[in-house]
Amino acid sequence: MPQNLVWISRAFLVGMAVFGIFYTYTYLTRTWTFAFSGSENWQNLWFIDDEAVIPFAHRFVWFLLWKPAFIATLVMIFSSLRLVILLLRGTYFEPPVVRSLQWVGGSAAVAGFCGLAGSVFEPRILTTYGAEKVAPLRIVPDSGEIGILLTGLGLFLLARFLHVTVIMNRENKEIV
Amino acid sequence: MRPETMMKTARNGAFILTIPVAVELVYYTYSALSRSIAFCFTNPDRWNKHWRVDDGTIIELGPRIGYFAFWLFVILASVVAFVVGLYILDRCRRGFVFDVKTAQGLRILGGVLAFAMVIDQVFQSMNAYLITRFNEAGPEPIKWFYDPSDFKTFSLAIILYLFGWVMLKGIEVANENKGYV
Repeated sequence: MPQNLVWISRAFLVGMAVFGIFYTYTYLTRTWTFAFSGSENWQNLWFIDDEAVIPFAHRFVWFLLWKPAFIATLVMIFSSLRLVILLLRGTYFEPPVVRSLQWVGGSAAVAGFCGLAGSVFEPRILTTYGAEKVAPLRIVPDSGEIGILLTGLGLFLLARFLHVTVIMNRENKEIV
Repeated sequence: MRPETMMKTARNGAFILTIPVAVELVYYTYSALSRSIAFCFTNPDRWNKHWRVDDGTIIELGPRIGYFAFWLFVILASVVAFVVGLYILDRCRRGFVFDVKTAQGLRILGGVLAFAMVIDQVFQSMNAYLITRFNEAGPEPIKWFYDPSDFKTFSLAIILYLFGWVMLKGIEVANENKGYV
């Protein structure tokens, strides 16, 4: 690997590790505080009545709503780290690289999809108790999440192409 | 499954993926530009009466053009990334997967996407400052705006860039082997 790419890869490893920790911490703190530890947070929303009582089970549903996207993002981060470590070790056209790339693409696509799905249900869950009107389910076309979904699908597809190439190379070697 | 069948399936996948990418390219360009144009030019009250801006403030045309040009960078970078993505998908669909142009396209896509995410972070952090520049008490400070989507996309962009390099390396080795044979 050329020296500049080695530096990019190393910087990526450090950056992704830091982002993984920061993302986990901020995400869990924010969702936990909003759902459980500070009940006033939910009631402080401008469209929620101050006297409203939001049951624990309902708060738990909101808490779980964003978890698939969160878990998929963590998988994406770990798979990315694994993939870059493999590349740094000089492993390129081997099954572990293909698997890692599939995991990166697949988990990114799942994260993007779950992010979009979560934003469809969130307004309804937030307005079930204490709001004047329950918000309808509606698709929020968040460009960020759509971008992650499409890029993830693209990477997954590239991994499929790489997979075929690895198989063909192996067959060619066997023939030789 | 035989490799030929797998390759055909993957090529069909590239064709299918082209459709949502093309739709998102049109939708994103339209929505991002119409939002920025309305905020800066056609609906000036969106800025004048923004909740961060002092009552009665009138934003002149100059700062509006500057703000629009500012965001145009991010929009254009994202549009270029979409177009390069479509180009790569089209090449994959036609069977030019392990090809120099496809590999270079991947590197460009990764680079442009990473650049777009970095400037998006920078501009989002400066957004409140730019909007409130003409407040009597002075502008709001530049504050880091944390958007995890930008970080996720940035990481995928780096993977694309590295993968482009891996492909180029593979093509180089294959060509050397051919020459040797």
